[in-house]
Amino acid sequence: MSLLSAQTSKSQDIGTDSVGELKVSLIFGTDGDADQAGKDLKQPSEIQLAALKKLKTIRFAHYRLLGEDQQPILRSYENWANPMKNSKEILLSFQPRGKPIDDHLKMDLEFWQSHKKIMKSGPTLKKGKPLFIQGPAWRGGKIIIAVELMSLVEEKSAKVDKN
Amino acid sequence: MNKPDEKTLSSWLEGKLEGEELRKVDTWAETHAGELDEEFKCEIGWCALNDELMASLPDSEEPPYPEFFNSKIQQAISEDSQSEVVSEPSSTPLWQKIRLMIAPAAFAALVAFYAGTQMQNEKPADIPEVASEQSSVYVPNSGIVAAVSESNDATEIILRGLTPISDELDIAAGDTSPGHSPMMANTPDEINPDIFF
Repeated sequence: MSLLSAQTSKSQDIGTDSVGELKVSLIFGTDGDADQAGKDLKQPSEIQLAALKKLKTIRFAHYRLLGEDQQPILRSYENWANPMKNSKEILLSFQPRGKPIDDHLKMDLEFWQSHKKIMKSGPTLKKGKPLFIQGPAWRGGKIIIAVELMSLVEEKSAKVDKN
Repeated sequence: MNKPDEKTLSSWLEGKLEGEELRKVDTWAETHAGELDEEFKCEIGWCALNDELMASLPDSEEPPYPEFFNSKIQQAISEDSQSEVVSEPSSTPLWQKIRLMIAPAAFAALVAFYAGTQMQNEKPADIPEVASEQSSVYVPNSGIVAAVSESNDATEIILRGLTPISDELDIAAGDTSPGHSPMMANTPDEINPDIFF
């Protein structure tokens, strides 16, 4: 009976529903030798490079992709992105701060470095408008965290929910 | 003569009175000017000068810009220079003396007004524009500063004062500083609820 109750409770937890997907990329930016980050590293995608070149304050001559992680955004739970699968030196935790409005989603976003919380922010993310965070220095360049809202799940209408 | 009404005094201060009317007000002012209280002096002075200033301002709600402000100063200097040439110091009419007394106050008020508009409107060039939605950046560690910049294409946050990652640490190969990871499990079976909506 208790097992049934637990299962029913679990099935009703809409907090675990995904409201969208978030991609977090770790990029190395430098005006010097990009190979200092690693010789086998690739450049960021064409879309990311185009976005990086449009930035006003974060500007580097060369970029390398250190890693990326795409995670579902759970409706009411804290989520973690670990762009470098093996290293946990740079982490990002995120959590929706409410329902998506149109194509926007307000988030609580935390940036962690070396197991310490460095920054907490409340950006409103929009598909096609990434957030770039210039983080710590490393090997003659800077670590850049790119946060992109990849998709938002459309809310079911109230009429559908009632049925 | 009884005390002239405000309109007559304003015209007198502006030097618009002539003939008998001017003589009457001059006579009254010579004998009664010392009796006027400060409030009344300010009142008649401001009334006259305020009208003049307002008339010289553009008919929009825009505040006076530096060009306008500077041109008014140049105009005042030019007018003063001309009046010094054509007028004799001993025969300066009383209305001009009072105007000269009030002029510094009016000038100070104009400067204060101008400064106020500049304080409201001016944005230092080196401070990036911060959108209100994105400005809520909290940096718990002292010595770290966050600068936020927003455009139509992206939002940028630059963190300064961070401890550099050691060059010896090959994060691309999976290295991590010693310590406990704060990352919580994020599978639905293990996650911890925090907020609901």
